[in-house]
Amino acid sequence: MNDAMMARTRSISAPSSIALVMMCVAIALAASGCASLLPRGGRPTSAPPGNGSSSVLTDMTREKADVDEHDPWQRFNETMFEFNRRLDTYALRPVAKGWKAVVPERVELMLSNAFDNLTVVPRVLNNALQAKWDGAGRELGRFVINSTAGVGGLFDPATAYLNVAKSPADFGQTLGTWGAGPGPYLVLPFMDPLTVRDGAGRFVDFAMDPLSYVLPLVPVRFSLMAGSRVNERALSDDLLQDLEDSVLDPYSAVRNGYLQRRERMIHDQEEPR
Amino acid sequence: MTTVFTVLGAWLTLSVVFSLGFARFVMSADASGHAPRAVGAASSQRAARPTHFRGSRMTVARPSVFLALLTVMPLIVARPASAATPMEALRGEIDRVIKTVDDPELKKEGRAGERRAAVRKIAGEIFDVNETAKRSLGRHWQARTPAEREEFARLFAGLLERAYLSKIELYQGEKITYAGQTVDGDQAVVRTRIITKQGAEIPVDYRMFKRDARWQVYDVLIEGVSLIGNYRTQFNKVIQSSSYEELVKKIKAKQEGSGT
Repeated sequence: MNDAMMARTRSISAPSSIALVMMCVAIALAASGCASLLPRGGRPTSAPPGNGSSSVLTDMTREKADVDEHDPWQRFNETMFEFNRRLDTYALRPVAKGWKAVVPERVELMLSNAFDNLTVVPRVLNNALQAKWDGAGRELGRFVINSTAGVGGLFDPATAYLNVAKSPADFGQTLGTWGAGPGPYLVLPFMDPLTVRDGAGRFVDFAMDPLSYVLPLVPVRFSLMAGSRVNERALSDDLLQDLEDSVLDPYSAVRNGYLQRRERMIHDQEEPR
Repeated sequence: MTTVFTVLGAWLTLSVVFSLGFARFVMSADASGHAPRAVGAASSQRAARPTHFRGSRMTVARPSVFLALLTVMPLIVARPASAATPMEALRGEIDRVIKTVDDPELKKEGRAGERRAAVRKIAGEIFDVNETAKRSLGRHWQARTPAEREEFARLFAGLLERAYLSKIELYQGEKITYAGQTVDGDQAVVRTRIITKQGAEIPVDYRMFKRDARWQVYDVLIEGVSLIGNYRTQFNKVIQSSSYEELVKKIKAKQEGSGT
């Protein structure tokens, strides 16, 4: 099992540096073509005048619920998507299954909590950058409580006993709340789906995190990421099981799902908790 | 109790309507405009429907009796149900599902099929899969014949069942909280949250509409991802790159592939 883990760790860390280079390319692209990041005119999501009061409701003829799926690099993205899918089928999932067989779910949850606890700094900063002071305070409070009473973040007494809920935030979302559009959809190897904006955000989040400077990048940081990845995959395996049975076109389903979810994370925050 | 009355009332009303030869009228109304529209459109539609009724009724031998039946019946029977807000209606059904899934009797070996059937039955009462199918197919729905629509709705229901019914069985006491509702005429959005074992809150919103004084769900948004929106993208892509027939073939293949 440990050998498998190590193999997986190695295989993910080396090419991830390539992914990082590609990310830089993407950021350069974003910087040179910043116009594509700004909200574009004539987006299909804008409601016709006179219907402003019913923004929560949709009309099938206008298909207002649909997000703008700007995907000029579709051919490249589809290739990468297929690559990632195979990676999941033949590498990530088998490793995660092995992990699941050895590690009790309770421990998986504890590890998941601890990994999450580690990346507190970008979350606090992004909450603050989005003027979500309450969220920034909660994340900070959670970190203090869970790192101490929660034994280094293995447990989550902040949620369980004090009802201090998470407030996830990332820099792609921050850019979105500042008015940046998503830009083109982007799929890169070894990574979740992205848009140019969210990819740039991912990079900034990485730079915001003090851990990135304290821990040696390749051996430790990427091992942590890989470990977290395997652990999360193991936890969600039941949920993802047979999901493909209900999906007709995985590429467009994932793209639409990602874009819709990000859209909500950016624009639907004012709703009551 | 109220559901019994509503079902009974709906059945009676339906049988009267059908026996009068209104079947065709009902079908065409169903296909063209029963769906919830934007608020502006909805009110004009409501105004338009009775005129239709009046026109058809002329052909009936004793209109007064049926007129009385048609107008009074829904008033008597449906009132208890319509008094419930969409959130109450939804919560009642979700509570029933949780009770069924949590039932220690049904958790016993060999009763999984029975349990799933019970959940399916409740889901069928609160969900309007026809509406979901229609909206997911979007503009392509218009080009379909009634038979094709019927077939498509049936296949689509099977697809959804495989995706979500099996997931309900993973339920392990996760908490569901009800965050609020927005009601606008005969349309509503009910916002809920599922609190996972990791303590993460997953927002799940239900889009509902009122049909025959009953609130029914036609779309579910998980973390803001609309089921209808997601399927519409997929359906569009398959239809655009091949054809509607290919889409049907694909859905059928999924059904056979999973062996249900």
